[in-house]
Amino acid sequence: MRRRVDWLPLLAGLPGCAVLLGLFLLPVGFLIARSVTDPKLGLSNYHTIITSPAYGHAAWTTLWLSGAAVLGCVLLGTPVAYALVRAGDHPVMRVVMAVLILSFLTSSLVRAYAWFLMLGTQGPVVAVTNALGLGKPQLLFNSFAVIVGMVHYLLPIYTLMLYGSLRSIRYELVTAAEGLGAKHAYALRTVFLPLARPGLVNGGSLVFVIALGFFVTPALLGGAQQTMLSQLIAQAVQQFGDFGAAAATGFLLLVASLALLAAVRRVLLPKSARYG
Amino acid sequence: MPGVRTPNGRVAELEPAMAGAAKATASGRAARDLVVSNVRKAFDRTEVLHGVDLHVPEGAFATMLGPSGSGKTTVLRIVAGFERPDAGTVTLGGKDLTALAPRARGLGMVFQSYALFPHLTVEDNIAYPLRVRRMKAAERRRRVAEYAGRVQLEPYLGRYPHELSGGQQQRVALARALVFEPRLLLLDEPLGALDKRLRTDIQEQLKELHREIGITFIHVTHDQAEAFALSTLVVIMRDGGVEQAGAPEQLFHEPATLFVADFVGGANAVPATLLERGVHGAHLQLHDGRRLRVPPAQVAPGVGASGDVTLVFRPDAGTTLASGDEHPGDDVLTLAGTVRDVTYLGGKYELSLDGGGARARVHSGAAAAIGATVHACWALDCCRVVGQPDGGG
Repeated sequence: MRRRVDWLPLLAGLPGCAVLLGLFLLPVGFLIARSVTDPKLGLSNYHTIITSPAYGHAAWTTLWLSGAAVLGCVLLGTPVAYALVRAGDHPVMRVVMAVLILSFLTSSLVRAYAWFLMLGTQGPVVAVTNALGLGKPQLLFNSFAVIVGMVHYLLPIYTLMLYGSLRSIRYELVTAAEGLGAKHAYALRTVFLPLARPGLVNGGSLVFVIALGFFVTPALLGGAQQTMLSQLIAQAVQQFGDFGAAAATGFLLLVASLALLAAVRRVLLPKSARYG
Repeated sequence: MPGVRTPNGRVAELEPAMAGAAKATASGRAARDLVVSNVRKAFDRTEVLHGVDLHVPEGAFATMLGPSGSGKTTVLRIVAGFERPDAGTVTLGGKDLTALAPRARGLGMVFQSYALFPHLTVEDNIAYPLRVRRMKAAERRRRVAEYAGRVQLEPYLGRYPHELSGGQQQRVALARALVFEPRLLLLDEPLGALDKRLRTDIQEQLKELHREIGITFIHVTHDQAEAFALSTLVVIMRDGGVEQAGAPEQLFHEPATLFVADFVGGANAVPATLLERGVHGAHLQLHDGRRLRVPPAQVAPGVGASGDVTLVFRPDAGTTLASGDEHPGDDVLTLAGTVRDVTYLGGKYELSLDGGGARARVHSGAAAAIGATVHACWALDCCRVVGQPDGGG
């Protein structure tokens, strides 16, 4: 009897585990294999990528656009998550929550097109600047448009994730700090912020990794200067049929993402797991 | 008797009886009594405090005692400044605190959940109020060491709160609330989460700390034994008001209302009619026609000259009578009843008697059979006359 009870959860989880492992390990395995065999055995694909100025530029673009998008999320989303935690019952915050969830559920393609229309020469933003006598600025096909699109896509993810984490912080601790003589801002900085740090780092690194893989947003809203690594991968396959180079780029992007994530968490999350 | 009885039992005045209190008043400066005047508070249009008055002398160990929902924690939070009263004032040593933010009041508080900072070590938790006050590092370390020593926490200074037991966490909260030498310490059911044995130890430690430090402690609990063990002044709260305040002895021997008598001692109560009052006592008639004369000191303040009253008497003040001795004299209350239940209390038994119209519990040296008829008696100077149950005394 006992053994059956012990085996049951494993058995129940087995199909799902098989699918998960199969869908992750097999493609990554194929990817690595392809990157060192296509068109010929060896590291020539990696050599080409590392020495190519186009890839170097795309890697740098990917990094800084993603970083800027994360910064935008942190600056805009953190106060929203805090407001949701502290005043979630307020009618305004209920609407904000609904908007967050709805935009979370909207496809990235739709949202990129929405910005395309918003920022285009026939769009409302240009109409307003024109009416104010500021002319017709080119708002599309630059870093600004890409960052706006990225932040818009990532903000609900970041905010909802941070909200979940901030909600578990006992606000009574801030009250206690004020009772011990602290001003509100001091109490938030010395008590709430340190306790919120794991949530900030987790939310920030999650959206950063998602940003590294962006394709639709820079393709639609960016220009040639805003080419990101994912676009180069698509280009390698669609325009040149070069599956080896695409595989090698994908693998490098994966390794770089994991390495960055590990480094950021190591620096920003000391001992945090220990808090009971 | 250290307390001064007040006419309606709502305001307590108490001579400082403790060593710490005596020291504080001997220093000659104006006493820093805490005075809460006519404080009202409503949440969502439901009034939870209906004009609370409280006077806690400097150096007292005051406990607000009452069932949940009686408003005791709300009073504490208003004193701390975490809630703003709708009406009324809170003053400390004559200074009005009512409009001040919590941080400006300089009071220490121990929360029910302790509210320790989980990301800080014990040392940094205790040092927090000192850092807030920008105390120099050397002095801060000396002060943290001193207060950690007072609560025996020196070996744990480097640990994090979650690495400590409940009792140790409680002591960190105490040290953190005292280290900046506040004028008043507020304790919100600090012993509620601890097991009984640990509670007894910590009660002794709390009393010792109170004697050593000498500041006023205000404590909230629903546990009558805890309130009596700790306090020099007990304030009994009921339905958002002060029912009676006084020294534990006063509340026990001179309850002003049936509620107080029942809450502090578990009282028997029988309805009676007050016929007349005189210098020799109050003449009562029980509903079975018997007449009794209760000494004047045993009539609660607020009881009128005549009318319906309640006679209360505690189980432990009575004795059972041997058969053949059912009429021991005129200055006793006797009751006869069928034994409904017997509880062993250790060394003695408590018998629940059903005497037809009246039910009563009495302590007895010997057990009795269920269904047997037992006669019990109470000396009339151990009985107390209070108002009717809803009359409030």
